[in-house]
Amino acid sequence: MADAPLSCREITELATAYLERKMPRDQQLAFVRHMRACPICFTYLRQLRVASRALARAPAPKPAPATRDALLAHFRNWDPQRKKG
Amino acid sequence: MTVDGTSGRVPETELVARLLAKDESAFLELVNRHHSGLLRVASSILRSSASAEEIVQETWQAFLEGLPSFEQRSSIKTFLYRILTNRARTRAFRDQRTSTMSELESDDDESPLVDRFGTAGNWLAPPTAWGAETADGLLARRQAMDALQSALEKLPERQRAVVQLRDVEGLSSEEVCELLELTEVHQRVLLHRARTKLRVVLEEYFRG
Repeated sequence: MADAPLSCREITELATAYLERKMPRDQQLAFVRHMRACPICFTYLRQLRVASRALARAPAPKPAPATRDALLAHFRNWDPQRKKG
Repeated sequence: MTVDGTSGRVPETELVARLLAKDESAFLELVNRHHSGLLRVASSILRSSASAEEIVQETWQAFLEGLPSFEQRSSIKTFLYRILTNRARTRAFRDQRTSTMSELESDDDESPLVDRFGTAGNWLAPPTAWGAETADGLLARRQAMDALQSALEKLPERQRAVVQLRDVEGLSSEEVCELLELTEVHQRVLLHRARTKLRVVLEEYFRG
């Protein structure tokens, strides 16, 4: 039954489908109902989101200086007017 | 679902114009922002760090060659990753490695949460608060972020590529499916496994 109550285990299994909004309507309602009633699963979902958002905003590791210099040298020699091929 | 391909900084048309005017700081900014991500995805397709380095170098060269005719129907980021994944796949094929991501195996591992529930699916060992309950809070914890980044590096190849493109780069699932030649369901399964593991790594970090 699609809108039967979901267990905590099921919440963790469906978390990504929920966040991606790829869930049948009935299941989504059951998911939301569980989240309202269960502070543990609420915490779980928040932690998933927080980790994902922090990754999005974390500074990217910079390339090694030698790599950067090689790319920059290429950029300096690059001619934007030259036709491809 | 819209994705801000510009990371909310300089509008992309302006960035492209600066690159075409051979503005070195614009190029360096782009390299600093994307090089490590490109490398991460290249190595997940190629499994050889030497080949991955070469492919990323080639990607930057091809990017510059293609830039004058780039019509900006996609973001610069998507343009870069499209060049990269095409080249990496061609290279993987040439090197007689597994030809596409969908054929790569090694990650149908069991859930890290397997022991956490009772028979009724209730939490036996529930997650507890981290003391860093927002992205800002987590970003301020340098060591936690280091643990998170190194866990990302250790994910199985396909999971690593999907998390890099979805969570780090912020591409849409449609774009990622196209770039990595994955079905939507498969992409979501990989994302799910990866995020589940990364959360557990942070949990372990905060539990000390």
